[in-house]
Amino acid sequence: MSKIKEPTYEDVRKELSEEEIVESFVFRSTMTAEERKQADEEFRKLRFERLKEMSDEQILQSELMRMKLLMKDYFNQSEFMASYSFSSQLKQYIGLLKKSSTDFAADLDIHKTKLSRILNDKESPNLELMYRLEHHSNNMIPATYWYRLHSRKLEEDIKLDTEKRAVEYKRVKNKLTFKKSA
Amino acid sequence: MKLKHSLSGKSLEAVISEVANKDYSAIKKDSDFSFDWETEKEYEVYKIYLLSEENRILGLMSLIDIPEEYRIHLHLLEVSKPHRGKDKALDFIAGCLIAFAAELAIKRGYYGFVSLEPKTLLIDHYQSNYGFRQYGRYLGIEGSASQTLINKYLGDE
Repeated sequence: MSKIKEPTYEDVRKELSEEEIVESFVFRSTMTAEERKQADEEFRKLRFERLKEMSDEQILQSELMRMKLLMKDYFNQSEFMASYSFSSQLKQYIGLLKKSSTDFAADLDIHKTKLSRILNDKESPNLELMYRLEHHSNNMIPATYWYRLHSRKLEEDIKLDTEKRAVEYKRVKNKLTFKKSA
Repeated sequence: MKLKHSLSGKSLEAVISEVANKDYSAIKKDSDFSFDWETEKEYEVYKIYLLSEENRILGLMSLIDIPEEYRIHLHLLEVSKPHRGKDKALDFIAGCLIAFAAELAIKRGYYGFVSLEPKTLLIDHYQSNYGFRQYGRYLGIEGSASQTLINKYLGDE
């Protein structure tokens, strides 16, 4: 319970028009406990009816939007996460479509073996595939997102690839050397 | 996301982040906010500020997560005094906050559903300004209406 005298809708209405109020406020509930109980019951009924009415297309669209927004959050943080590798996200995408890998490969005009190799991290995706994925999702997930998933995984692989690094180091001649400054 | 400078029409980059414990004392002292935001601590409280002015809070919003009803309830929202009414300095503050709530509701698997309890006289305005529809005593926004709001206020890329 607040100790501060807060403004009521009536107070605010003296200074602002209704239009201006909705651009500045959402007020706390003023319902009594009994009124809220009734309102909540009525709301729940309507809410669950609405959920039942949702079409597969509406659900898929929302799930794709969710996938995109979560990718965006991932790009905004620096840590690599295996669940956001290209292959993991592609598996998730195929799962949302409820399609078999064979049908999905046909959608993208790639061989199912190639798709399987990409899904199992045996082969890297190319730009052509990223463009096709963008178009397949009706631009919901842009090619640049798929590219960034792939490049972040590559970056992680480079960081951890001590074996190949050591082999390649051995092939280098006349490596630059610098005196340590005093 | 971008806010609009009312006079020049210039876009200004803004940020929304969760209110930290240390912010509450500053909010309490800030005469540009009229509500007691300390009482909202039990909920998720977000602030919006300009990227170039991190210490000046322009708006606040508290959200209640109701997973069993697949929704986020917008419990309280307040834009700071200089940005209200005819002479407001910056526009789109409330729109950005509501769109941010809709984005959270998509990420949490609620299909973008955000509810609020309106004052009766404001129902039409919440509907026309943001795309809410009536759910009994509450208003709700979801699905494509939420996506439209997100695209309008937060940008898509």
